[in-house]
Amino acid sequence: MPDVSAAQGAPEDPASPASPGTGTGTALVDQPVEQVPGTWTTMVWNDPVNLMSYVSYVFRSYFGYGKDKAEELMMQVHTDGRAVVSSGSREKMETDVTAMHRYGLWATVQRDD
Amino acid sequence: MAADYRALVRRRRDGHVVFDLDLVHAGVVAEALEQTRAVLDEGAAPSPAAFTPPVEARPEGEPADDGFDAIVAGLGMGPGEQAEAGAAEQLRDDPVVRRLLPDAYLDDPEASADFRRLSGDTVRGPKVAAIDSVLADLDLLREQEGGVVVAPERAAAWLTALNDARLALGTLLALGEDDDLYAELDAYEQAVEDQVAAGGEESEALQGEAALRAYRIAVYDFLSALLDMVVRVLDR
Repeated sequence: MPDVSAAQGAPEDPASPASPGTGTGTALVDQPVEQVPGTWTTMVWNDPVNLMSYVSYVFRSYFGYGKDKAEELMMQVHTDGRAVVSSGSREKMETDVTAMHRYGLWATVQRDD
Repeated sequence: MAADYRALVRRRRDGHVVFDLDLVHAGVVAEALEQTRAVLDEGAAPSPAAFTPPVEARPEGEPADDGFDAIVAGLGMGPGEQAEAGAAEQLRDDPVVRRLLPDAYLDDPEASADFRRLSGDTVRGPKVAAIDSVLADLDLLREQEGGVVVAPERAAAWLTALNDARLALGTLLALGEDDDLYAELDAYEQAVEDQVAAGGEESEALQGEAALRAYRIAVYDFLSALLDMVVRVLDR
């Protein structure tokens, strides 16, 4: 289970200037009981195009992660080929994946077994 | 060849961002964004002629590029017809389209298709809007001297727009983790020099697949440097 306690909400969502207010961070506060044990995760995959500075910036801007947490996740993507960047309900993860796709990151939703 | 661009992007004390590209660079960026938007608009694969040098930059004697628009137009994919799910899904098989609008589920095409149907234009729409916003900034930039001043929220559109153009180009170039683009550009330039030294015409040497790839690498490199500058400036 990834540590997402650093999530502090999202101050801004630069990826969607046309639709403000849609990037709502991933603070895991109230996970509905019916979601258990079906926890879902958002996975970001490595690709040879995205700049490290950009990926780190996206993690901070959208998820509200601190600089250290964002850098750590970015390096995990870079070296391990992937990283879990958020977890929660399936619906929330689809929202996060949509946001990642808007930013141009390669992300997928999967069940956390 | 090393990337060494002067500071083209800066942030004012009031938070606004100033973009100060020269006309050539502004034109190159606009061209790349328009071609990326064409892929997003139509959901169609880029033609082999996509991301080619603009007409005025073409070596003498080479015919003007009328390929890209003609091919896109010839697809007959008006906005209404895009709803034809089958055709649209088929076009998504192109690597560039798939990279710009990726599947949300790994190894689960059905879940991905469901998600895509339900989420509709929530990815494509904002991407196109960001590109249009930057194209408007570039138009202003080309009309006036001293750069264009952009509000912070609007400057954020540059991030995704530039990155989407990089994704499209990087996919076309089939970039790998360890590719040395500078070495490749150096080798290309050396080959042109050799050909000219051997009595060949430069205009001939500059044509063909190698020339197209070299052009795309140069544009990709510039977009990368520019994006990095925007990230750094917005990051403060």
